[in-house]
Amino acid sequence: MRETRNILGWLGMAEEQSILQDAKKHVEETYKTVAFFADAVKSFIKGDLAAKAQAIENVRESEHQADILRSKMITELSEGMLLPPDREDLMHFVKTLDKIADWTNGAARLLGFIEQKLPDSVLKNISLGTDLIVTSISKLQEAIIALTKNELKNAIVLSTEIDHLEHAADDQKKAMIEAIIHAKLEPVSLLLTYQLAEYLEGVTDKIEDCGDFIKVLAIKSK
Amino acid sequence: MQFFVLIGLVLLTGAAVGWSIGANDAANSLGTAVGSKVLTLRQAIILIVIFGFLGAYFQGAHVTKTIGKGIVPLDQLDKNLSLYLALVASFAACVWVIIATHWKMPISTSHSIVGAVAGAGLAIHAPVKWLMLKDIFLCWIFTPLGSAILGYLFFKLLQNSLYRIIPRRYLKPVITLAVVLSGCYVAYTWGANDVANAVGVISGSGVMTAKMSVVFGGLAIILGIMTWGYKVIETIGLEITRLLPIMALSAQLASAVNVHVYTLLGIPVSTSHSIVGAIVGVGMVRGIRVLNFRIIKDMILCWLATPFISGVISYITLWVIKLFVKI
Repeated sequence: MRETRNILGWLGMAEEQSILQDAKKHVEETYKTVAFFADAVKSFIKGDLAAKAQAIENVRESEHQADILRSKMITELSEGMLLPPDREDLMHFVKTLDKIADWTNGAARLLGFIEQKLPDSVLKNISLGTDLIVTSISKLQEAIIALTKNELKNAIVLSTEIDHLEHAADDQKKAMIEAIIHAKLEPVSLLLTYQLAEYLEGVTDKIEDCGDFIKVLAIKSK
Repeated sequence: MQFFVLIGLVLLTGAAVGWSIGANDAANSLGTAVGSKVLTLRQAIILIVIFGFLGAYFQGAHVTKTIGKGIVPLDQLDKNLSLYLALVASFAACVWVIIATHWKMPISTSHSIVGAVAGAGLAIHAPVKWLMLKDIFLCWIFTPLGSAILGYLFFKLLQNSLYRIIPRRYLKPVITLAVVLSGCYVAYTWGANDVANAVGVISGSGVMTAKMSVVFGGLAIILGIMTWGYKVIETIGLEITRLLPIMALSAQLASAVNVHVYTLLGIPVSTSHSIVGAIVGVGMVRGIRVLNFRIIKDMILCWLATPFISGVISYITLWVIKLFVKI
């Protein structure tokens, strides 16, 4: 039914496209948040505390920009005479996108608190967990772009790949917790590192949630 | 033989334009009633077919006369020439409608056929009535504005008075009935104004009488509704337009009254622009934030480009034909 040139149908679809374009910008900002977090992790592993602090500040700023975009999108979704077909799904999608940036910011804050030099096994797992997040968010970005270009099959394939990455992140969290247990850390570092493991896995969960909404939007668009 | 082939092609292209009108624009009348479950899809189709045809039959001749004789006086041209002009104008309008459908652009068939007739007239140096074109163009601007104003006023009036006049227990059935009746009125005025887009040039060139041509056009429109239009009605009604019944009633009444006035004046206007203007007008009661200016800008560009592009297509087509055929 996308072939319709009926004006009411066009208006609904045009609004939907406009909101998807904004979602694209939001995910770009969210991607930056994750990229800055990856920089913070690299600096932490190298022991460069100044660079780590700067990267964490960048994460905070980027997350704030993503919040502004989210507010704008929610305002747009709540206005307009003719509703796009999937307004409710788009609203959930926007909120879930925002959680990715929120959780990344949370992980960055925890990283900022960790001052003790951690064992290589734990650092390695933090690095692997971060790599999974970066890969997942890249896939999510590609999936949203595919959706805006109406490449629905591609969008669904990419969303499925995000699912696989989330499973890998679950396994990675298990490995990280094992490394933390065996590292015999100080109580404060233990608590913070464990929380960091939770947050790292939580970010990929939120990315997977977004991927699920992309599948819904893609299937409904057919 | 060539003459009859020409007549056949004129009728075919006219039917194609009529089919397209039925396929795409029928949803504007009772789509909202289907969406709010006031009518089933089958009931809506039956009503649109009946009232659309009645509009075409009883009042389609006004605008048919304008398109057939009011822009380029086809009845005053050589018979062969008028047939070629009719064929090329319908063809050009048809081509632009197909392109617009492929690109999913919301163009108006009224704008398309007017531009195509003028373009074909220029190609053969026929006397184009520029004053009439100017009046039509002005009416195109006033169409969405007028229906927006009417929509605003009707909604304000109904919102303030309906709940005071009608007892609470009768409110829902009365509003439901009013939505259906106003939707039928929209279908009637749509048939009355839009049938001319398909058959104006057929009637003007003398292939059929005005009455026969509106029946022919009405049947083409019905074919469009039955073969494709019902899918559009279902999509628009169930997925896109979610208006409260009182808002739908106000918008439909405003649009129908607006188009009816222009129909009686014999002016071909866009019924799509009218319904959108009316919906915007109704929405303006809530404030200006209902307008998405980015999308409105795209819509206006489509509206402005359509008569020009279809005019260029018909001009070039007839110019090429003249190279091969002695007209």
